[in-house]
Amino acid sequence: MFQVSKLTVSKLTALIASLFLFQCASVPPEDDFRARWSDSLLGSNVQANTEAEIKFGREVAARMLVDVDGVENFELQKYVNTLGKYLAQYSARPELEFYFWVIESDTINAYAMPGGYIFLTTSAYRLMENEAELAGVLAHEIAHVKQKHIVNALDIKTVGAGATLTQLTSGASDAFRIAMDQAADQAIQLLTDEGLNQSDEFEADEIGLTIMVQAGYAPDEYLAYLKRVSASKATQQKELSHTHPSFATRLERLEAVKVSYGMENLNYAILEERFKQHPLE
Amino acid sequence: MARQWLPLITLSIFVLLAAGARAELAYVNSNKAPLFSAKSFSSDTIVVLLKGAEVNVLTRESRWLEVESNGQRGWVSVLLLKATPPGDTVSVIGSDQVELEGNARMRASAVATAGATRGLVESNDTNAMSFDFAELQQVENFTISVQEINQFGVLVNEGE
Repeated sequence: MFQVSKLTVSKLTALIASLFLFQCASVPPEDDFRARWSDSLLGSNVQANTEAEIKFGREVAARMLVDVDGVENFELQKYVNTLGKYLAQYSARPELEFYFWVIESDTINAYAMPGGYIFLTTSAYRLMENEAELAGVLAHEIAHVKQKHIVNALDIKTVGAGATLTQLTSGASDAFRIAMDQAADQAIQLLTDEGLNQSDEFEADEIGLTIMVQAGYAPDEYLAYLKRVSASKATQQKELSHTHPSFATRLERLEAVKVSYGMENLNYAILEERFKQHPLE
Repeated sequence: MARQWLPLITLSIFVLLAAGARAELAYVNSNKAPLFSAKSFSSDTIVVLLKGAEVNVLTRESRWLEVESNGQRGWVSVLLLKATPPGDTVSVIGSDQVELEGNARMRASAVATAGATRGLVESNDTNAMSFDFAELQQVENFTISVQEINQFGVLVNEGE
């Protein structure tokens, strides 16, 4: 007769318990990408979090628009908006409506604010040669929004005395409203002066590249644009250099991303002609 | 004797239930998600899965998931799938009273004053807090239809 000791039963129980815990600890698909991906600043209510993210993004965008103006070329604004929304289909943030706006500025840069508000400077647009390059830049900014880089970078818990972004944007008290304004100030500073940390920029490059490729654009054109920016006048690229890692490092990493994703020699869209049909002036 | 098996049997049931309920399912959270024949953008596209499509996850890698959907098996970028179905588009426009520039300035003024009273801000200079919600509304009013976006994509998908 088969005899099982109490010790064997205990071991089997422990083994199965471990298996149970292992299964419970399984992560959802996208969380594999970056372990840092915690919405620690946000609460557990997805709808409320998204609303808070959009409200905060609106505040930041409205402040940015005090110092800059959109170009009065609405054919161009429509073209950039259409391309941006076309790319955003591959962002995996279907709950967000993305907005794109070309702003007058002599610095080469683009800005991604929480909730889907993305601005591109006229100087950045002038330096582009085709639609794929524009797609690459917009996809990079969409990736920042997708990953909530600005929200994660802000020390809202310090500013808001332990409050979540949802509480700050609720406007439920003077203290929350003050904290919200301070957080918006910090966001503007990050966007225009300090920049995000290098790992966020690399992540946005990688995700942006996958967005543009899945949308059908040639990834090499984004790299070509970065090379052109790095070779442009030092005064013009001053701001971009300040808020981003070195171009040499980014290009090196992007080449590695291309290989790891199998993006070499893709005969994808460049669309120089359509881009040229939408000049700034 | 039978009593000593009780914890083991109970746990086994939990494990089997957990295995059944485990996140083997994933959902397309982008409008479109190409299903590739291999974990490479250079491989053939088997089909383009649409937003909300449910897939069975077969293999997980850092950047790719091997999935099965409607009898078709292939690889999808991990960035396009989530463990939960996609939600509807969220909008806060028009949901609060802080949209108009005038209201925003009033609010900023109230905030600065309240903050100054509490010693939380350096001054009650309201000029330092301003918003251009009028232009923001212009940005938000710039709507593009789904048809226009689809039409825009036709040329892209033809390549060049």
